[in-house]
Amino acid sequence: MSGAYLSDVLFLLGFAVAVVTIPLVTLAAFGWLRPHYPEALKAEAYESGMPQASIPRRPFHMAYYNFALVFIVFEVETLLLFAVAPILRDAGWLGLAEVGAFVALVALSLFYAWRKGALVWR
Amino acid sequence: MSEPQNVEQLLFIAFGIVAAGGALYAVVTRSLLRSIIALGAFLTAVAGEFYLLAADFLAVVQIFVYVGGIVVLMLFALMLSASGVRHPLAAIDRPALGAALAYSLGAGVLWGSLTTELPAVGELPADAVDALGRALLGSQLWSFELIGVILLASVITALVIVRKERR
Amino acid sequence: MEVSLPLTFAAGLLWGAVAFTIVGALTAGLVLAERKVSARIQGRVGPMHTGPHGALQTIADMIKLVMKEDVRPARADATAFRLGPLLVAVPAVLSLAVIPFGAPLVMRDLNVGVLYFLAIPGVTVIGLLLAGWASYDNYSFLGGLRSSAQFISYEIPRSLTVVTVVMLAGSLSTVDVLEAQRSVPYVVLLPFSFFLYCVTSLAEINRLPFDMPEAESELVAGYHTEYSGFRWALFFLAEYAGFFAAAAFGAVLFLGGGSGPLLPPVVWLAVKTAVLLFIGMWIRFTLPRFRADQLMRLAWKVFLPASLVNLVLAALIMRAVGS
Repeated sequence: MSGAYLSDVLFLLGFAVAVVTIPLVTLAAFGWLRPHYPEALKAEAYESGMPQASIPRRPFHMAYYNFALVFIVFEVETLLLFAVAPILRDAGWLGLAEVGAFVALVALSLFYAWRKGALVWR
Repeated sequence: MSEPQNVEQLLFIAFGIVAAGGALYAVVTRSLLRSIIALGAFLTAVAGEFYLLAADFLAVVQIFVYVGGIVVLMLFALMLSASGVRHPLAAIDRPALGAALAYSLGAGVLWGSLTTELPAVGELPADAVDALGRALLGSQLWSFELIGVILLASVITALVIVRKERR
Repeated sequence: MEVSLPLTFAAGLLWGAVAFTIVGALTAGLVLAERKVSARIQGRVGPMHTGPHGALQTIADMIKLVMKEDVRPARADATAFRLGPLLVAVPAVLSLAVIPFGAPLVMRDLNVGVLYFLAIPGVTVIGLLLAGWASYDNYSFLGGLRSSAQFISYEIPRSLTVVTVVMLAGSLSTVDVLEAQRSVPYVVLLPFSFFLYCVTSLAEINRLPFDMPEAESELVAGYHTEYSGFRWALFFLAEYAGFFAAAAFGAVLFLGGGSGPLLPPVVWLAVKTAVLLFIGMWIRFTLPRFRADQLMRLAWKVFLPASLVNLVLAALIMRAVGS
């Protein structure tokens, strides 16, 4: 009954195992060929040749978070469109109108975020 | 051993162990970063369970929205706030009250899921994605449009909260 | 099911290994091609010394990379520092599993293949953020944030553009999408979608003119500033895997994939992919770079509205073609 799903999972699992293992093995295999000369200066973070002027653990630009927030909403909307897209071909004008209403709501969210200045990078 | 049912059950249990382990680690670790990564592992394992249960669309959506969206949002929150690596559970004001609340909620969910009579597994549709699309435009049309409205509302709410924080 | 289950798992293992090898070889080839193309555009000759006309240059580079010392900053978070490059490289290769390369080389035809291809690289963002954060370096931190913000911003217009193809093909399976283009490739029916797909893909894989996140003049090397040797090579591999995957997927979605006269499908797909890759390189060495704020504005205020309009346009095209 669910044979196709089971073999899909098995295939992808095998694929993933191979793709994860190969770089790990390569990394380990060349370990004994790599030089290893630890040095305090080498282990400093790079900052154009001077000691690190500020640590990279400080409050930073909230704009990134705002974009991520809006992103999730639009992503969910996109995925719903993916769910209905395959059957739209034979859904007739009624189906198109139904999806059109949904797209209008998406556009409205975009318009709102735009007007409120959420899409401005600062 | 190579019977499909056995393999399926074995995989289901394996994914379940990974999911439970990830979830457990997420709450036990004191490092917020590790907690988020463990949550990502948990969500991925659950996506595997979905796929095994013939919900392939849902499995991919899980990766798309939760792993590629929510986990990223949490990482942004951690990195931008520079709240250090302390787990928020370690910074809670009244841990006893929180624990009592969380345990009773968990127990409630567990009790509910163990006592509820689950509907029997029906015949699977030949093409699950097709069936989902037809449902969204047919019997579930109102849900479909309502989700659009809810998402619009969530954009508005999110922006209102963000603006308040800025002031 | 005719094929036994252990065999399916073994097939997965095998194809995974093949995909990784292909990506490795392609990266070597593409790096050389890119250096030669850029040299040609800029009136130079490019690498000349290792092998005839520098043909062995990247082989030498690869040997150098695996032999290099693996340096980690003292204050870096060791686990996240190791996890970062893996989480960037692995999804990039995983996404190749659903690309129908033609008769003997269809790896897996998932019911939701198109969506799988779009979803899996999203995990890369976690790797970028981890790598940038774990390095404990200001350039890495900023680079990781910028790359991931750019990735998620362009993911939406890109996905919305792919919705138009799914609409016309009536399926989420990559094989069905190919099948539906038997008579007319979608580039003819959906030229605007094709254009949007190409531009947003370039942005999503962080290539010029959208490679702000790695702008060497201001961010050194972005999120991989602190990486060296093989771990650095993994980022490089991921970048070219993404470039290749986006081109091959574009060829499948819009150019009819492996269909063409005389030659076998694999060759046709390779030719079409190569054309898209060449255009990508051409653009890289011709256009200047955008600023970070310009990039975000473009994504949200130009490409997202444009992809919504394109969606409506495609619906009308679908009706016109259907009747």
